[in-house]
Amino acid sequence: MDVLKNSNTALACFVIAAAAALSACQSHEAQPTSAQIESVAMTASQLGAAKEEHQLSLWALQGLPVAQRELGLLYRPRPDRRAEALQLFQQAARAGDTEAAFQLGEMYRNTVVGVTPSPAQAWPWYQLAAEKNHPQAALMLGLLARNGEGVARDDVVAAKWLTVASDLGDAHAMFLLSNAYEAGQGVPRDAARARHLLEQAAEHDYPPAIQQLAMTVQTGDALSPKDELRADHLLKEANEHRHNNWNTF
Amino acid sequence: MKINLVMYAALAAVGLVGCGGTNTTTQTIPDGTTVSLALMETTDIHSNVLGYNYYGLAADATVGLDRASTLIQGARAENPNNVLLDDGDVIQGTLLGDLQAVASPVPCGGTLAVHKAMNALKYDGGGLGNHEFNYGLPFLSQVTNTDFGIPGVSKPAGACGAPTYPMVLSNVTAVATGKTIYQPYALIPRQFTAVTPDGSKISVPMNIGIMSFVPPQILTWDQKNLAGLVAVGGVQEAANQYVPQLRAKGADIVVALSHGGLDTSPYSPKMENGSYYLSTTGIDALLIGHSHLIFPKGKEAGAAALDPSFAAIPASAKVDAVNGFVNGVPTVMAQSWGRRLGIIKMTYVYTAGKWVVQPAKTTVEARGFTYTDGKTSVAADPAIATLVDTEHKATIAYAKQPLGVTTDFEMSAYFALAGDVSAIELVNQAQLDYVKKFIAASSDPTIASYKSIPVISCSAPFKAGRNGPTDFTDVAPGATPAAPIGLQVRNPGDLYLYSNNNLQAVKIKGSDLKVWLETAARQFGQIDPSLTSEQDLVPSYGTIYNYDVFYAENNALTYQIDVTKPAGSRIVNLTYLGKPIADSDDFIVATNDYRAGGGGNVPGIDGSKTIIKSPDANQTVVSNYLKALGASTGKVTLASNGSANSWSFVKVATAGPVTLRSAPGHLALAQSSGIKNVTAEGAVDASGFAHYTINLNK
Repeated sequence: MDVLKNSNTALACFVIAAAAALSACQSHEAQPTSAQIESVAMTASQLGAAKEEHQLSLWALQGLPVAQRELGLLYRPRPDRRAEALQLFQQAARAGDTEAAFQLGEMYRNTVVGVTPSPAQAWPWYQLAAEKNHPQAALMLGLLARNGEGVARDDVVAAKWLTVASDLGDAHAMFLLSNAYEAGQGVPRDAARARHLLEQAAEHDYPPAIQQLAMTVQTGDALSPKDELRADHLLKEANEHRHNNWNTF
Repeated sequence: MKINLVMYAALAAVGLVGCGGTNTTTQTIPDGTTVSLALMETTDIHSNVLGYNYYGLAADATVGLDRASTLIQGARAENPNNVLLDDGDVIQGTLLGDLQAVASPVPCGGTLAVHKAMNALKYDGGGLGNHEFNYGLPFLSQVTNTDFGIPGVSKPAGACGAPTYPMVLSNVTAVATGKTIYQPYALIPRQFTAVTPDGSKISVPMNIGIMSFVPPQILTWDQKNLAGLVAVGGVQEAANQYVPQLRAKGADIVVALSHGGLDTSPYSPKMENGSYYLSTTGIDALLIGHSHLIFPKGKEAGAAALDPSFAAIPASAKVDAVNGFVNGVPTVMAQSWGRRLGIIKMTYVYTAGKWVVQPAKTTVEARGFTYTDGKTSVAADPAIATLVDTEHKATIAYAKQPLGVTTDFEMSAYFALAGDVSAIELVNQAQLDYVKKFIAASSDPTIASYKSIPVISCSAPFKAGRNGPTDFTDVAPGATPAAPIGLQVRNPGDLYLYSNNNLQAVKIKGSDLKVWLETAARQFGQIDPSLTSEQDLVPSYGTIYNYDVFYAENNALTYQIDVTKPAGSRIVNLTYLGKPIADSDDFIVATNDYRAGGGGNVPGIDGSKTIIKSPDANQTVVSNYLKALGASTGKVTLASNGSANSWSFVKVATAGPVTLRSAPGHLALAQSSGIKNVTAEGAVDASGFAHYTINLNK
């Protein structure tokens, strides 16, 4: 155990030294922009390009958070690099990269063979990201709270985070929050608010919301007039978009 | 004098005047000459060639390229100098598109109906959309007659039927070659009528350069078609590469066809709706799509309010959604399905050897069918219907083709709320079969680790009285073992109503299953056994699509519903393989994306437990399952596919009648299907529903 710790420390020292040396060498060069780093990362992942992956690892060593996050994303699906992915996301998240904090939450929460999911460990990283306006991270906090995963089950806390996510434009959260207002779960019952959120969620292409809205206007109710043409067009839209939306949300 | 100048310019344009080199034409155009022109856009046509709904088999006068054709002809009459461009998502979206791509693929010698119409409309150029990739690269290669340079992806030899206008795509490359799979841009040479300072008309050549962009997300959406074969770059990077090349080749106007919406959040090459960031790459006009929105706001009387997503853009982003400018660049999005025509009118003045745009004279419009007065729709162009008549009729005939399987029972939802599963069991069997095979075949180690968890399925009576007494599923009416009936291609759509649903599976605990069943059982009213008056078993059919009926192979999952108890405590005797289900038991449930993603507000089923997101539609899964049964046995039977009654009511004697509202005239069907608790058909109410007596003690 101690040996392991020591070797880890030694490795960390080496990495830091190497990073310092590199950044010293390259300090005269202009820093790549986030878009440039992401472009290189896209090439690395889409083409499996070794050169681009190497470039990313150099930038990550320089301490560029976007490069650390992108390299983490590249490593994440590879079981033998899970530890490195976690470390890279942590570095980037601590340096302020919101997406990296979210990805760290995802790694702790998701089920992977041989690793016990730890939603409790995911929570603070999601929270870090959510507090910096990451919509999906706020959605995840809402889901964890409403299902009592990693935290005590609490509909009020869930609704709070779903509201954050919804205000940030997350369609899935808009839909769940619409359901919450409809049923009065963690928020006061408010049918008008529920309908407004349903419209918003459908507008943002959340498939269940499009379907729900279509069903609603097909028959009409106190809040939405009966409009069969609109129902047909919503379902037509949903039908077309299932080709994109099957793995978008 | 006038005529000579016009002649000279025209000759120069076609290269017949050789002596002056490239300067010849420029010398003939006096400074101060003006040219007014219109760039026209269609986008997201989605195979809506005619205004017709193939699912309902009825005309739909609110969509279609046939009416867009009338808009195009009107705009051409108003603007003799014009260019017609399309922004992609052309080939997919209707049953016609599916027929020509999947069921009966158009051969190399043929041309897709939508392309035939667009060729007839004389488009000048087109970009691509994400949906172009839905049917795979080989098909796309053939129907656009383009060799992608991708090993293993080939089109038939020779010239295949395709658009006769140039198609461009600027940000998708072949992994094998690093080259774009379509030409990244094209220069469209046109002759426009211009007015010289002295008022005379001359013909002048102008080159319109076009590029096109699709969202990088195509790699996720169509990963099975594209992974490892193509790479997608950011839109801004691609534009920065190609705008200078277009200018160097003599483009007077550079137009970006961007199949993406307007997202003003900070730029990333990964963003889906990156069109905003094309506005600063030196282009002259931006034609956008993908979001199916109207930009700028419609100019017709009573036009819909600006879409909230545009209204929410901060002023600092310099998006003028009323006049149609993004960072000063004229921008249009013509909604979808042929419903609008984007028209950007621009005026150029010839100044010191160059065409210089007059921004104050630029106007932008997303013109709809009712543009004249907000009410009267333009008529459909009959020439389009004539052109695609064969394909249109073939699509209607396709829906009625035999599926290759017979049924010995009527599949109906008249008594689904009394326990009949004749219209539900096959859906459950198909979904269950799909998920079991998906898990067995998965290379994902996490999914593969679920092999020992029982798979069950749920589905609901989607068509069961919501829209009145005629709104019930009823497939193969009159089918019996003595007189089986052949199913048709359209029947899976009757059994599984919603063509938009994708199959999904969730991993849940026994405790989740109980709560799920309790949520479904809320559809029943609470029955008071002591009441002597009539009690309606299901007071409202408004959300009957949330009445999930669960099923396991060999009917191994059974449960009872006690309708005398309050909602939330009605489920009893829930067993699997004869044993009570424990809260901690694991199950995988095959369902749809609506339920798995939170539809119906089932506690815990909110997207957080989804383990399989299939790109396949539930309707297709049902269709394929029926076809497979047809191939193996030729038939489906009541015994095997329609009578596994997984649920029943807890028996109770009631003092008064308990009734179920359904379509009149089906008591005999209930009896022949073995639904014993339906004992009598009563009077028809004002809404047209017959009140059937349900004996809860049977």
